[in-house]
Amino acid sequence: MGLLRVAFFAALFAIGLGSPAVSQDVTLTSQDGKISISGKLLTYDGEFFRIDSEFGALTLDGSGVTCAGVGCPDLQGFVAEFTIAGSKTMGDVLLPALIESFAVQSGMTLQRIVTDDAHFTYVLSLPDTGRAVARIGFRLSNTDGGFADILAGQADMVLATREVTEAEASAAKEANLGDMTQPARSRIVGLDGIVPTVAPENPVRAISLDDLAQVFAGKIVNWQEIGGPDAPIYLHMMAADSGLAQQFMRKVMGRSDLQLAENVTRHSTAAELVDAVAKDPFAIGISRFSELGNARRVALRGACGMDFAATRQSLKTEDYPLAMPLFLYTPARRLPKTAREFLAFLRSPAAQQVVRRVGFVDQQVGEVGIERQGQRLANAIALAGEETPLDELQRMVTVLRPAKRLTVTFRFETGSTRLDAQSRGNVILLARLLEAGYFGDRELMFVGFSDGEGDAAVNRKIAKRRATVVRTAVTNVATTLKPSELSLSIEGFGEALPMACDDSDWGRGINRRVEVWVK
Amino acid sequence: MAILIAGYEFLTRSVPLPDTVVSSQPVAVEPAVIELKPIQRDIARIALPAVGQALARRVGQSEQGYKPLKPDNAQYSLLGFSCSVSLDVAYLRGDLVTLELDAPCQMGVPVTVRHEGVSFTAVTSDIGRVSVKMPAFNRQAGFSVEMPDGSMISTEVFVQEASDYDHVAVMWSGDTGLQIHAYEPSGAHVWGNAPQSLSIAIKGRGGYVTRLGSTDFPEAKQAEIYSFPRRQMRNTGVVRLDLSAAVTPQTCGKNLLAKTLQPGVNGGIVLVDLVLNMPVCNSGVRNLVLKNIFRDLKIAQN
Repeated sequence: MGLLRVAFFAALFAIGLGSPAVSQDVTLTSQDGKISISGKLLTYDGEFFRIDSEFGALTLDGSGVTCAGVGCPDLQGFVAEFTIAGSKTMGDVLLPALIESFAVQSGMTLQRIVTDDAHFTYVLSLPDTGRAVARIGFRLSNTDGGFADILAGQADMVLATREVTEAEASAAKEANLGDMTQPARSRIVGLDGIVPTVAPENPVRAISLDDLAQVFAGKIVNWQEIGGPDAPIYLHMMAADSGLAQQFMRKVMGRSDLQLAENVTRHSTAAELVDAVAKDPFAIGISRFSELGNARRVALRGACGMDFAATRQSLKTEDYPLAMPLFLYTPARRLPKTAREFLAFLRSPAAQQVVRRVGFVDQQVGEVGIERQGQRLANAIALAGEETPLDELQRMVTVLRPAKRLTVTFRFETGSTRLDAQSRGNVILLARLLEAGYFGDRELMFVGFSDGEGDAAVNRKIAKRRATVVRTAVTNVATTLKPSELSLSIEGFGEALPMACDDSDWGRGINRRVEVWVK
Repeated sequence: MAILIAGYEFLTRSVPLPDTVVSSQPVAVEPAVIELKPIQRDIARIALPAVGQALARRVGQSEQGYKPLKPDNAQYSLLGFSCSVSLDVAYLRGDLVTLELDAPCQMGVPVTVRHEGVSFTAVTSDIGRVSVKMPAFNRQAGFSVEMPDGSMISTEVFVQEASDYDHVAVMWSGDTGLQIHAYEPSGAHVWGNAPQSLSIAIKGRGGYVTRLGSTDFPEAKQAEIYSFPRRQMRNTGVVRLDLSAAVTPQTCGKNLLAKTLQPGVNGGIVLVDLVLNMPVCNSGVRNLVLKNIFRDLKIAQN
């Protein structure tokens, strides 16, 4: 009983939402009048009653009961209230556009109450009566701030340009928000990428990750050293507490343990940053794919001459090494009905279209034929040798030629067998498509590739094993399907089709992957 | 004519009419207090319907074959123009049209002009006209005007180049100090104090700002529209759009109400009601600048 009581109080604290939380007496009676339960009303979320009854805390579907007593909520006048906090990258344009589109699709009118660019509230109302249905608050700062807000009970959803940290996750657990590292607690709203930018008239088209790190460390100070004019390099960077700057530090500077140079101009928004860069032909700035403004993106160059530009496709496939998935975290508690409907809307094709239209990268699965992979095949031929003989290349082409590559690709965390965040999202994405019968009776091939380190025969085996792991992960999620109903095969081509050069960590990381081909 | 003028005087002064039409001396009236009101041609009908009927009966009894006059329902202005209201919208060039409202009997009255979610108050001139140049948001462009009595008149015009333009708008009433600021790729800062013009837009060198609506009285609805010739632009790039509201003794600490219009992400034009919680009066903030009310306009490569 003591334990139960603890659990009960824990549940009580976990319920911050569903507003009329003032405990009042209610009696809920089933429609046929046969069953009746009394207790104190804990929450009503527009759909479900949660009451503290003699049997403990119970959740009852509002459509199946009638409510009597002083504590009954105003069922018609219920307004769902929730607050979204965190990253400006996501909250400036993307989320408002999604809410706008959600309101239009649900036939509701929109009001925006603004205090400043970081603090505003949307009120969604029914057009005929003008009755408010939902109030959605925004508190924008950065990813750190978003997690701080949800821990402080000031937010119900977090916009994050990175995954939750261990410290944040354990604090969230203590605050009864649930295990934020679980797949159910986060979803990828869209994709973005960290992109170096220069002014349109700057002649530099590509830069290697190593040079980029050297530039921002202040070790390369003249454009001449990286193929530009004889002129000093002016550095522009987001504020240190922004998710974008943190990601850049970790993924680019951190690889070589370099510190940021001191003469960096900091900006509070990416728009401000690219506007400054666009005006200065000797500037370079770190922005994101979704905010290039009037500046020009610079491709990333592998040491053996392969360039990767940030494009919709290269970000979807994660062939671009600095992809940045955009997460929305939710706590382990019941959100109001309109909030749940909004979360469901985020997965819809309409929402994905909004993501694309406002300049981010959607997660709609695309197919790319082998004829559009000339560069990759050229690389494969150029790098073929004793390790990857001609007959292995021919085998690969024979297998892949009748098929098309999906933009869904699986990659692993550096030095780990764990799928990275975007790929974990892809597991769910692909499983859902399979469950929905998206591919009909076409065959899906999980094709593993490895980097070129070590023995080619071993690499082929490793590649095939990775493909098996990914397939298992997908079928484990697609629980409504019997494995026998699916046509999912496995292939492994080892190091045969490199995406990047194996002469760097990131190059090898890009090469270690499982592609999905469909025929 | 004398009778007409007499009729006019009676009307404006609301003097009860004596039994016969040909009575009185016009009462002297100071010109300044004359309120111009439409008069009607059929003086018998408007002034003395009872007498008119009685007269017709009496004349009918004494004269064979007499037919009473049919009342003429058309109304005319003092200058003899028909009181009927007409609305003409003509395509000018670019995205611009000229809207002409002719309401000869409704001088100096506020009317509401509407087009695709934009609405503003115009005041008719002393001959009952409104003439406005304004951008059209779509090729098949509908315009309507609501008269003070609630009646509506509307018309449509085909605007060849309307879809080559992007439009954003803000609407308000009274002294809000709201302004749209467009920062164009060329470096130009286009706003109410530097509005540029359609001719610049036609050359593909930038957009222009149109300010609409009367500032004569506080309830009048005003609007500001930024038109941007997306298709005409020679270079690719992004136009940044800010909305600013001046923090003045009239606006500080208040909630300003406005409406915004901008291209919807899924097409069409989306209207949003805006409530601005203005900074408190002693905050030191002189201008509330909002960068994310309007999305950037992107010039795609052709």
